[in-house]
Amino acid sequence: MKKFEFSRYLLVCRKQFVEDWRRQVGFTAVMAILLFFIFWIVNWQINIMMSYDETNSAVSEGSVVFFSWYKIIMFVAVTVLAIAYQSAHSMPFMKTKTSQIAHIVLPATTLEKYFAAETFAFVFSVIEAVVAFFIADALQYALTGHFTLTEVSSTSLIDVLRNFGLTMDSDYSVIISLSVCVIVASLFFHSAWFTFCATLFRKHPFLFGMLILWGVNQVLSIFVSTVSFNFLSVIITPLENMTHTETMLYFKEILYGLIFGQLAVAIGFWIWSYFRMKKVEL
Amino acid sequence: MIEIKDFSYKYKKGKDMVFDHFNLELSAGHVYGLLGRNGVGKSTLIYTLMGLLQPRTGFVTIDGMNASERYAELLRDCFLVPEEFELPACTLEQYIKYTSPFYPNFSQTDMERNLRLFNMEGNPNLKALSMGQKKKVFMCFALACNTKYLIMDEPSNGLDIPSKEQFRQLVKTGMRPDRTIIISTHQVGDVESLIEEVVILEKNRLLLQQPVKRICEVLRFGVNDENPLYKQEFAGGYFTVTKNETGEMSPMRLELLFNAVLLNDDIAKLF
Repeated sequence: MKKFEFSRYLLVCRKQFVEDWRRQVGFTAVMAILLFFIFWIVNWQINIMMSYDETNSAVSEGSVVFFSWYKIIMFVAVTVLAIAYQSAHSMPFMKTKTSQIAHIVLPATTLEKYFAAETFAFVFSVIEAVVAFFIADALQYALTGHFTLTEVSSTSLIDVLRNFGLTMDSDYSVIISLSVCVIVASLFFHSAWFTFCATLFRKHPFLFGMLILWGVNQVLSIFVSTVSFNFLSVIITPLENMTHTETMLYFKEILYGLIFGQLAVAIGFWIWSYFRMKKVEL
Repeated sequence: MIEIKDFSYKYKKGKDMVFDHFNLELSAGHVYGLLGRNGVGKSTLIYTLMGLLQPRTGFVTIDGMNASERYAELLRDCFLVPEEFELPACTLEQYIKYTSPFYPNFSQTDMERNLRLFNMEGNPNLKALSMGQKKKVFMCFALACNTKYLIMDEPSNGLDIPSKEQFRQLVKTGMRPDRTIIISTHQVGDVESLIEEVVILEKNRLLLQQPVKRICEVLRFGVNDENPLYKQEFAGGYFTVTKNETGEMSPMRLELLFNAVLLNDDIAKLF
């Protein structure tokens, strides 16, 4: 008995896509509209800022750099949100008895069905986030016309990155790369956590998942304040007394900790979710 | 062959065991009628066969494979038509296109023939169909998959009167020597002519498991017969169940048999 057969996995993916594509389109549209309004407000603010001092190139450049990074941060935030939401809804078959029956009796192994659900949640969320981002950008260009963030980001952001890269020493570039890894690990963590929530809660898995994360965050905050552990003093003060190499090592350690910590927890939740799905009963 | 050995099951929220060390064997190539009162465990048994429920003790095997493991190789040989089910929001052709590859013996010719039997044409959107029409489409598909095991829970529920006869035709057409069909129902009249072997469950035990032929050899189903083992009143007198002492076979009345076996323990002992 094969635990995993690629052709069957593709069949499950296809089935899931045909049954769910309408919801995916709707989700992308909602994301695009949300992003459009954010861009629109930002655009409006940038115009106000620039109208004060059109001749001041420092203000313009500053705005350009800020909003270029701002867009990247927005994109990452939207992608994390999309992955979290999609993962929380990656197992619609867990919701009702009839959908559970249809899912369990489908001739594929639990592993194939699980991977299909995860593929859908993870890959499609990233694709949908990209599509929504470009739709939102195109929409705000079409409606506002005279100033587009697309132009700003496509021209200035590359320059900013290139200049930044030239001035960086290798340590900083490692830290930047590691920071990107932290973001990717965060995507994995959110995907795994909300997938687990999908197996745990039949109703409102996204909402409950968020509430639990918020609750855990609050508990950790209380714990940190109780033990009088001041992150700020640890992060800032020692750096002043450290040599450059020590500071870099210190940062790298923190980033490695964040990456591997998130990945370890993510893998744990994924395995747990799989076994919950495998053992699920009506 | 389906083998249920030492099977126990209790729902998490339930107080009592639905099954407690229960045993049953169903050989291939027959149409079984699974009968029993409400709550006796017919659906539980069916769901366990399909791996939807996990036995607390014992095991359920189909062709030697443990049903609770949900092997893809086993599931592609089994099809469940539950009492309530969902169909996706797509057209019939799309549904066939992406679901049929899971079933290697699916036949498009059979599907078309089955749909014709139910007078269904075109390529309807499945979400737009009525419950009865959905059931017809689903049963057509179930039979066209040509799985070795076909399990149906209350298949005639939701079908109108002409469709019930079409349903019987459908099952007869889809019957093959190597195919096992299990029909669990309360609408005994709808499936009477289909059933080859009767399985009656009573609380936590198997009350009767006999082929229809054998039942008719042992029992006589008549009207106003003397010394009945069981009688049921109707406008013109009594339907009766008596011992068949003449050897002459009478057509079996499933509802009568069911009530007789439930109310008179001695009847099951005759077999």
